[in-house]
Amino acid sequence: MGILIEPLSWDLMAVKAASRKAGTSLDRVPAHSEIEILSLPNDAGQVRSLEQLGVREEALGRVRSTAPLGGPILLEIGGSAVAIARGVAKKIRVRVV
Amino acid sequence: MRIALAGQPNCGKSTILNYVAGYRSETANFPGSSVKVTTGNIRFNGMVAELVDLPGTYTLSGSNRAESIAGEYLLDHNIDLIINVIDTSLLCRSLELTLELRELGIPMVVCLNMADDAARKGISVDSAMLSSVLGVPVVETIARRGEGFDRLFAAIKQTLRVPPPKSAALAWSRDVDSVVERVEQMIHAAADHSHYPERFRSIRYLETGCCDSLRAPEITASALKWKTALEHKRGRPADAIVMSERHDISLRVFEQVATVGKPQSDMRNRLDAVVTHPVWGYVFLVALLVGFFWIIFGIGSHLEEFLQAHLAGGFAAISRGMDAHTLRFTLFKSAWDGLVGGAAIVLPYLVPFLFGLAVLEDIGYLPRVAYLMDGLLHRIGLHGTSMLPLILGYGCSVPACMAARILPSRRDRFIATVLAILIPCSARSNVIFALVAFYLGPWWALAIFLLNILVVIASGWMMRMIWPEVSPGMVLEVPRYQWPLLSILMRKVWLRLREFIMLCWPMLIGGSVVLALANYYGWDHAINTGLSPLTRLLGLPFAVGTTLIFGLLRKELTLIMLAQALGTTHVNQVMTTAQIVGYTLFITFYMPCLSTVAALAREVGRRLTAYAMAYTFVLAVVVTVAARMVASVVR
Repeated sequence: MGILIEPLSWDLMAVKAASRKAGTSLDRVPAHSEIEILSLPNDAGQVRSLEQLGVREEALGRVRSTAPLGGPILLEIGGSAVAIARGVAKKIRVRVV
Repeated sequence: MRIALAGQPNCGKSTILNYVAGYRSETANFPGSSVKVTTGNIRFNGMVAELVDLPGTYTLSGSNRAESIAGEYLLDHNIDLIINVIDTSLLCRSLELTLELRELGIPMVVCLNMADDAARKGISVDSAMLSSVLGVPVVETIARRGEGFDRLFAAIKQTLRVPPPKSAALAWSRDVDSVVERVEQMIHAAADHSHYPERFRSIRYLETGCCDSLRAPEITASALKWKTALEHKRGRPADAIVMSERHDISLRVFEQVATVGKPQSDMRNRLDAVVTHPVWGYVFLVALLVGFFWIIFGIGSHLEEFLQAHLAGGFAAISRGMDAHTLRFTLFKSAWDGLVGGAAIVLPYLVPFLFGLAVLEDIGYLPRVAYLMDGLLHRIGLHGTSMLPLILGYGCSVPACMAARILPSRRDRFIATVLAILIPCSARSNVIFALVAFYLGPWWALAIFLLNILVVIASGWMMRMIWPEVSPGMVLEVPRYQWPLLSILMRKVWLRLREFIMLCWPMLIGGSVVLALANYYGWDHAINTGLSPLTRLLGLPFAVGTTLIFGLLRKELTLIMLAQALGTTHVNQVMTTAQIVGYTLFITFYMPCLSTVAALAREVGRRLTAYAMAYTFVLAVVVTVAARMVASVVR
């Protein structure tokens, strides 16, 4: 669809390179990237609500879109779509695959 | 006999209840649409049972209030059978709750719902194999279309008569299983009889840290020692270890019983790319809301005009020959006004409004709005999930207050409920449409809706300043789009409309008669005199004082009472533009109706409800006086 803004490929490549070693936080990953979850936030409540929706370590997913104004990340994972607030996404380490 | 419908949020439990027990539980396509326990009686295969629809939950030890209601109900009530409803397209994740329910030892039937959605995703499940792995009957259904219910209830009957033989326990990791077994032995030794299996109580102890059977200090210390040792070994809290165990087993079971093929190409994914787009998503949202407004106004105003003209002619014909100064005529006219008010002023706007809201709810658009608005809501100290009660507030404030149960913190629940009661419900929207849009034009009405949103934002921002707690970040499932079924939409609209017809309309007629009698005998003068300091401050006519009191019962009453108090339905002939706007603003913001106050007290307690009521009253006065001052400057 021509009206949609596609992410720049160099942007994705830069994030991929940075995330290859120690991973990057989910909020820094551009839309349409495929990711693997490396670690979850250090908060038992948040971990629980994320794991219940299939967002758990080693799970593979895809960033569908990111909302503006510091809004959430929409992640496709485990057959469903999960909106994750930017503050929570910052604490999730991922690897772009 | 009691049968409970249990499952994860948005898997179709309420749809099953509505299909078999008559429409009594509101359904919608977003997680957390059912936040209370709803029951219905059913008769099947010669048996009578109470069917209980529980709020959706991911676990029996859920973190938010709606989830705890489900867990507590299952643990505290005698239940003869559980129907575990599963969204087949999310089988792997859903099995985690199935495993937990299975531990309860209550007869269970698994209902693989939404089989059509799973097929679209390329997922096919061998239900016979799943049944043999879990040791419970498994039946496929498509609840929205009523498919598979015969087989489901046949399986329920069979399970109640002859419970299936217990299948072998699904293997847990050896270290975890050994701790579970040791705690189980301690519970057994405590000889505390409960109707729940000892293994279930042991696992629950690991998950929640409490177990009534382990009250003796030496036993508690010993159980805690095992639990702590496990936590040290795995480097995680015990509840997380238990969750991981269930996840691993679910994954194994899923791989054993399901095959995943190529998903069918789906238009909905392309639509979602636009609807959740960082730019086009907001354009779509604004266009949708404005379109929604114009459609309701277009349908409502035409119908109102048509019905008013025809019903006025009807009254003239019926009352011909009656003396207008008699008590008989006064009573007849007031009852007629109440009847016509409901039919010609309220219903023309209410029906399309409720229908439109039901469509948005059933399609699954509301969680997308939550996603788009999360960033903005953070600026007023809330998160996107709070958007769901706020949007539901446009329908009715009572379910909106209850919907706040899905929020994890008490502070968020309080702020969301206060903001939700500021949102004009269908009754208040009706006043805006029938009074402002009809007499002054649709742009005035649109301006009031926009002003309302600004006031809600400002109120949220102010509460954030008073209660500066960091809101836990949103983690919200965004469901797939569903094409709404007309039959379900009609039943849902009827469920909501029935309250107006059965409760509110008789009140409109009764209220109209009471006000006419007060007027006839001159009692209303005393009430209006008592309220005159307020009406003078707001710049409203002396006669409208009584109508504000009726508004506390139901907001629609103010509309009918206004015509009764002013002695004409042509409000614009006796009130100025500033007065119509001022009156509508006050009705929009001042204290909610009695049903909402009761719901609010139940959700946040009496003290906070009193604060909320005082706040809405002061806010209504401030907004109305400010509007009056602006009007005087402009003039």
